[in-house]
Amino acid sequence: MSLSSLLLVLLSTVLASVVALASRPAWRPFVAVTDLFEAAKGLALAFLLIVPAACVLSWLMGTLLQVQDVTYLRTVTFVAILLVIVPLAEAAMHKWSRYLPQKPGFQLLTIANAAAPGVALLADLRMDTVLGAAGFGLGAGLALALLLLAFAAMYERLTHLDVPLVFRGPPVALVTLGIMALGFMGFVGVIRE
Amino acid sequence: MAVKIGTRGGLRLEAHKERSTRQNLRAASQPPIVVLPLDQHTGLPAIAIVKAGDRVLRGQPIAQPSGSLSAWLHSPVSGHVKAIEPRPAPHHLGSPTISVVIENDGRDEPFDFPARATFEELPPEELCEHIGRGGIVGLGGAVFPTAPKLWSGMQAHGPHLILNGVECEPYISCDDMLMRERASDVVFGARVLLHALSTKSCIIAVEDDMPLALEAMRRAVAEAGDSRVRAQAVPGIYPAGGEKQLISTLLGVEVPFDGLPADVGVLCHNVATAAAIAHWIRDGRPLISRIITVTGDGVREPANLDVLLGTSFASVIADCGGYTERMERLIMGGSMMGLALPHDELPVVKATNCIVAASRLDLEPRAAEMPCIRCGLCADACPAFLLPQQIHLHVQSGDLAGMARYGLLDCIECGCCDYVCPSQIPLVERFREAKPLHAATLAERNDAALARLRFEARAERLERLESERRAALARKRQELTGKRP
Amino acid sequence: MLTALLIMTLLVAAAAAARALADRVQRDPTDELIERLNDLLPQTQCGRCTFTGCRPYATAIATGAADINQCPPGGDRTAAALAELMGREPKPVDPGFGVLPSYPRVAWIDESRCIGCTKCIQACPVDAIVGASRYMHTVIADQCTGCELCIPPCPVDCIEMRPAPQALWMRAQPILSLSTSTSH
Repeated sequence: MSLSSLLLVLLSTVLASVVALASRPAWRPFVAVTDLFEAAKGLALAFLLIVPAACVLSWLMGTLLQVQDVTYLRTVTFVAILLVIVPLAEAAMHKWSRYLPQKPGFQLLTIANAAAPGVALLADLRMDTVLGAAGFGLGAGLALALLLLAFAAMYERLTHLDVPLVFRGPPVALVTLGIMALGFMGFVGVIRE
Repeated sequence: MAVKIGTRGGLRLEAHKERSTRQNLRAASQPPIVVLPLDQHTGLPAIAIVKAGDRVLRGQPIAQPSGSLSAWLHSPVSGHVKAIEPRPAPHHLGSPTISVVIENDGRDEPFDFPARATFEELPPEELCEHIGRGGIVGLGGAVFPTAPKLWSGMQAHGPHLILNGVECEPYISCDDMLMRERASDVVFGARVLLHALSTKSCIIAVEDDMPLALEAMRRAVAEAGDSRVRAQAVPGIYPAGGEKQLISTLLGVEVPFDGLPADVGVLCHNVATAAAIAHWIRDGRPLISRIITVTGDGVREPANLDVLLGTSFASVIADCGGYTERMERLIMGGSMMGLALPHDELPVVKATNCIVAASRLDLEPRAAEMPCIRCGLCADACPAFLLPQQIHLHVQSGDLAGMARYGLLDCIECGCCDYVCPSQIPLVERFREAKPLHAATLAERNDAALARLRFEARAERLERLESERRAALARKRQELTGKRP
Repeated sequence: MLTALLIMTLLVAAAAAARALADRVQRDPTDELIERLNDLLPQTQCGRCTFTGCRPYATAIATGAADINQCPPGGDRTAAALAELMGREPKPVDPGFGVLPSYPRVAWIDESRCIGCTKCIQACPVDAIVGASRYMHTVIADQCTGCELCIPPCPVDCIEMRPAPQALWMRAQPILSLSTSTSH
């Protein structure tokens, strides 16, 4: 999978997350956090925990499946791995972080959005070693977190502006994200494939 | 108009002071009637101690302070009190406020104040109180009662004293003329203040583009021979004369937005206040007049006049040759922070430092407002190191927390951001409207917090009384029955 | 085939175990939530919401025993802020809990009729009434929250509600023009 496609996947994940964060109060991932940027910070932390773990575990699982010759199970096992990791991350945040995840928002956002880099991973297994998988996961997690924070901040600023009625909310967010994406696409050329 | 933005915020503006400083200071003509609002100072309005029909003398006290933050008021003429009734006032933008109306009998008979010891012999607290009795308030525009300010200064144990002669706002030249012609009064006032505050240093700050005033000040300081007082030139960048800006320039200390200069060990008074103190302490003349600049393209002969309080604006302008045909707007104050007035039948109050009869030449009409293009010129110009465009963003969307986060309360309303905005957004107006909103929300929250504290204290007290009662009951039972309950 | 089944069973079991662990570790959010809800309430302690004060009402909202539209002194602004915090749709205050005028009011004791019985002093939740047995009672206007709890106990019916002193009222004026934007 090329870097630009990966970036595209990440950006759409971020768009979906932020629009979900901002729209329905019932989908809020954390208890008693009304500020969009605060919620984004908490979600970014969650991604940083979940995505690397998901990548490493699914790489390990991938090799196990290959050894057992049951590679057709890859997609299902990936989903199952996510279902193991997300509650653990939720427990970790309950115990050690000041953000308190609440149902169903937290699970909705993390499972759906952590799956995105996973899909990218599954599409073509570019890592040769477990360390490579860890690196990829960490990188993807960091990228997701950074983009999420950047976009949440921008979305918050958009709410203060005098946007025409038809464009308010997701439409202007899409336009803004598109322009931001143009900027990030410039980074793609830095890394030679 | 060439404008250069200073490196630490602020603007270099054209002064427009040459026309009004050509002639010497002169007294305005005696008015037939004076109107004296009772609330022409910060704090609670004064309470009248005369009534309609009373005869009063020049300098006689006619209203006393109504609390710790209030001031005395004296009659500027001798005559009869015609009425005490609501009259339009300039500091209320022309809406009425209770005022004492005195008819001048033309005899100018002075009120005799009892003789007092010289100020050096009075203990500081008594001197403070005596200064208050002269009706002295800050004449730089804030009209803060001087005695309470000195009290807070005394708590600071020997604060630095600064006399503010930095008249940075365009058109206003009253302090300039005061320093040119009555610099010795300012120095005398400085010495009185030094004694009242029991402190040892006083800096008289003068703008560097007022060379005559600076020279006169330096001469007066040298003549007085008091080593504690010195004159200091300050770069003429607007708003260098703002209290917080001046303190930061001279002493390098920043005053927090919710604090006063006294909290950081500084006290700042206007040079005109010092001169008023001198007239009261040395000559026994309370605050009954002040120097006013009358200028603008809309008046025939701009000048600085020594005007009795309560004189009407119309009379003062008539003293300067009357209006020209180009006159469009009447403004009290300067071109940056002045307030537009609806008509000239308003009395001069302690806060009136300048009357600008503006024509199109003086003040270009504002073009239509356009959306913010986020150019950042306002942030460069702000002398308080704020981000006006961010504050404006939050003001537009009514986000009170956001406004406060970006420092709305630190805004000194100087108008620099407004001046440079290419989209002609009336920023100062917006911030002025937003501040009471924010203050009201804060006040509401404070009230709720206080109510909660009292409620919790009461609950605790009731519980404590209850447990004490139960303990006493248990003890009593034990005594009576001889057994443990 | 068997290995596939084994792997899937193990994974499902692991997922179930993780879920159980997460449910066990769950920290009780109520204390912090109650505190935040209480901070939004006006602290009038009037009891119009049917609870005995503002904190009991906040507790009820947190545990789900009460709705967010029961506080008339807070008005629609407070109801909107409470809704925002609880993640629900905002709704206006239910008029069944009381309708208050738009300006702030404080209690006032008619001193010519007061008999000094201290019943109102005992009733006031914030100790805003000064007085003692058989001495004149008076309300400290600055501290009165307008809860009206002192009016029923008075045996000679000498307490009435009056508009708050002008200083307090003028201060509240800008808020009356504020829209129900939920930014706090």
